[in-house]
Amino acid sequence: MDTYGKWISFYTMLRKDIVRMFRIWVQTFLPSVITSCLYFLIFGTVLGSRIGTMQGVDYMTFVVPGLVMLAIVINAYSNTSFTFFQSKFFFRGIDEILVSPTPPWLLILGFISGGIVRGVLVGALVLLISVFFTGLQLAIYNILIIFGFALLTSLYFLSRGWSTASMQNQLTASTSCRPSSLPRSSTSAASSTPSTHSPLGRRASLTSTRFSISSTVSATASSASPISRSGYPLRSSQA
Amino acid sequence: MSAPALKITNLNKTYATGTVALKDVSLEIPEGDFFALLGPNGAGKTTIIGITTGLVNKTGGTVEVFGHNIDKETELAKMQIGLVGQEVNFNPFEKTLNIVVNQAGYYGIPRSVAIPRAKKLLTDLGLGEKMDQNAMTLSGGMKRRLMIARALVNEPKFLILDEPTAGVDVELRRGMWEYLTGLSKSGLTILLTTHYLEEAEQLCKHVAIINKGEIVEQGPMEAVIAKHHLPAQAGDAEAVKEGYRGSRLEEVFLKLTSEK
Ligand SMILES: Nc1ncnc2c1ncn2[C@@H]1O[C@H](COP(=O)(O)OP(=O)(O)OP(=O)(O)O)[C@@H](O)[C@H]1O
Ligand SMILES: [Mg+2]
Repeated sequence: MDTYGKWISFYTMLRKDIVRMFRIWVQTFLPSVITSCLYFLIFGTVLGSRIGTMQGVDYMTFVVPGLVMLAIVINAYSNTSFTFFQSKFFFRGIDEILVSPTPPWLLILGFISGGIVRGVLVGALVLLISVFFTGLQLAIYNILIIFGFALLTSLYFLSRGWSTASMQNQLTASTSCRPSSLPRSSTSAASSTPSTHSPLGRRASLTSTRFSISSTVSATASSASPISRSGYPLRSSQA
Repeated sequence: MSAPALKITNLNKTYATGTVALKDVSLEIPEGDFFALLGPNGAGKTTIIGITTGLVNKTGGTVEVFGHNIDKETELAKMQIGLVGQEVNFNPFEKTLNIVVNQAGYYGIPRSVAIPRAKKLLTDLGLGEKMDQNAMTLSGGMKRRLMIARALVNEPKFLILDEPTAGVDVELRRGMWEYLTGLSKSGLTILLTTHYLEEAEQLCKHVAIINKGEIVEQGPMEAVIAKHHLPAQAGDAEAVKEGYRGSRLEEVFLKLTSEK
């Protein structure tokens, strides 16, 4: 299989995943939209007025980065764990790719890219909604940092999702975003979101980006390395 | 002389559960052959196929597909193969046409080539009207045919069919035989497993019989039957007339695989 062939294979996997994502948008995009709307309504409008300001910005604006990150984390995690889990155990559709000359590392890349696309898309969607709720008060310091952070967070959590799904050998295993199946660092990642409003937050976002890079690399490497070497865990129970 | 389509040497497989599925299996399928791999349930047929196609890890032995070792030249070996698995394994929410086109994509075939090819295959297999429907709306026999179309989309030189006619009605089964015979005549090498022995006897040139992970007999169909087929006894003739007896291969099969 030449490079062109590999590219086509990758494109096929990504395309399939994105088509699926939009086909079942009620399951993929809608929940995050609804949840964040509820957050804004309940915490922002109802409680927020009583809380007042946080570090000089009003509460509604303050929660935006957290909500965006929450959406990214959940979507990246569940997209990968669910599509992978489903194709490995329910339909065994992963066999289609395993019998083909597509190498295991490319298969992983295909799944991962789908998760990133979904994470980043949903993050952008929630950000848009927050613009609506907060008016135009959001001061965005650097869109590239935000985008990069969204990307890395997706990558980090989808690789956790991946390893959760690929280590399961039974249908009873849960693929949901259980707190216990998340690494401890996830809490800190979610709380140290790239702040869009204060210089303090901005510094925090840079540190956490650095944190996120290293943890992403290690998480991806740890979950992907046994797979890319031989494709072994992909073959599920057939050890 | 060109390399055989499939050459298996001393293949062993022990599953993680401890089940010994294959014991020193050796097989050779010459290019252009129509080969039957027969054996009772749990004999190890699907395991052999799984190892050859990269779905199951082997414990020991070597497998070569057209001279390409599956460990060293994995991609080249896989390029040659088309697989119709025993279990239905496509995403039922996907459109019939997309299943075939996506499979081509995994082989590095661009959509512009894959779409017309997939349409032709599906039409040939009688699924022309179902192309735009979700795969779950297909009947059992149609699903089988979809899997055949999917296996042929990368234009393999070696087609592996794991019980393709299970659950297919008589008429369609004949149609499928014709289709397969046509493919075989055009030079495609075919490995077939089936529990319909008269089907194997009619279609296949060579046969291997496997029992409990061991090959108990292999060779040209006629030779295997001649070697084990009991000379007809007086009483048998009547039974044949009245249709009590199965095919000759069935007798040989039972003789070789049933417990003593
Ligand atoms: N994933 C697995 N894990 C553990 N054991 C397995 C697995 N798959 C198959 N086996 C065992 O390996 C042996 C051979 O199974 P295999 O599926 O190769 O049989 P088969 O010849 O294809 O049978 P059938 O005609 O029923 O399809 C059986 O004893 C089976 O229980
Ligand atoms: Mg089988």
